[in-house]
Amino acid sequence: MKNLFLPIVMVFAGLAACNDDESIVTIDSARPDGTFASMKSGSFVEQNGTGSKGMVELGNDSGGVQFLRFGSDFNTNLGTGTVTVYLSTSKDFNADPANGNPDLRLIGVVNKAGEMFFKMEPAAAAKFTHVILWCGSANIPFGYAAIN
Amino acid sequence: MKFLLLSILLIIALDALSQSGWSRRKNTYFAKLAASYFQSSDYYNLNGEEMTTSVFRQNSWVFYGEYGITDRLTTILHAPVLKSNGFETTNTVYGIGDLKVEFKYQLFKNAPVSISVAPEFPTGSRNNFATNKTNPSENINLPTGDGEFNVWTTLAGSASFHPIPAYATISVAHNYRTRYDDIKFRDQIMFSFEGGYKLADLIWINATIRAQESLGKPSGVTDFLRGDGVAFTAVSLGASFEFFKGWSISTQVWGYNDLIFIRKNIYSSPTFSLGVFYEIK
Repeated sequence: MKNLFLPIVMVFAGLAACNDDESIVTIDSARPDGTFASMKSGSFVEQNGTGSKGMVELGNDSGGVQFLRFGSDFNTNLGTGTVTVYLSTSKDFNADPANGNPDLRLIGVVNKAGEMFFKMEPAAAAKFTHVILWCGSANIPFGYAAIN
Repeated sequence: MKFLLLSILLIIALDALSQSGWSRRKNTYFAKLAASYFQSSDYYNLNGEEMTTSVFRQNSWVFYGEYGITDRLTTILHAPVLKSNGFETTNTVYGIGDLKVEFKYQLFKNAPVSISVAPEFPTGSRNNFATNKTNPSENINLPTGDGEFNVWTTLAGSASFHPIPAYATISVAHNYRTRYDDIKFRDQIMFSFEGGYKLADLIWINATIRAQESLGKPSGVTDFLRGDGVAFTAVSLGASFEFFKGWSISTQVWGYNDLIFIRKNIYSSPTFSLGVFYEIK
């Protein structure tokens, strides 16, 4: 048995030594890798008394992946759930589902204030000039930001 | 989003706050089960600005009971046993509401003037999320309770016009509100005037005007169903008919306007209710 234990101990010892030498890097693909460089930016304009505010930026990380970033000063009325984020060709929410909503692109939902990133795959088309905060349940806008 | 919750609470409050200066005689009681229906797409935000949203619907079943502990002390129970909330764009969520227990004391033996204290307990679902039908990642919180402990205090005076079968009641009420999470709700004040008349010795009809305003400034943005910052002027017409010994049916419709206080943080549309009650006088 002593002969069996020894190789096992050596293998574990070897693995431990390898782990000590290696530095494991975990990449969160939902966040920019490296530096985020802003290409367009704007600030939210409140609508319907919802308290929407804060900076929004569209830019790329070090790997060239595009992200939409909400600033640490972002806030809106999240008291009753989530708010949906869209890119839009204007400040107005012009839905046209029969034709695939050509003036809108669904980005995601927010449920908290503060900084957050939305990974843009594929990258946003140049025609989108605004970010809209939309409450789909009540069908009303919470705010918009012109990005340029 | 912040608007929804209010209307539900409003339906209940309007039904429960039917104050009067009279107390019940000892060992007499009144028990009522009522259903209310409300739907609206006209929302008035915290600034009093009207906007059109998708249709919000609310139904509630409320048990309301009074019991005379003594000739001058009445206890009142207001129990929303089932409430439902939903937008046309979401599923409907269900839950019980906030339980209110009221103690009303007639201040003078021969004069119908009363004071009541009514603590309301957060027994309802303080968070109740409905899911958007077209975008399942989006949800909206439609609680059936406001999530806070609050206390209504009401002073009411009534007059009978006997032998004319008519009465009138005037009341003023204050709602001491506490907190939901980290938000301190604003206190509220309500004024009410109600008159009633018995037609052909058969049907009681009544009309009410009620005005509510919130006091102070908001400490944060909340949803409409929790009622922070709510203001309105409401008018109602109602009738009740005794169809069997002690058993009656009643109906009431409420409407809202800006006559005394402008509408804020509220869905505005007629509210209908239908009830059955039994009374031992």
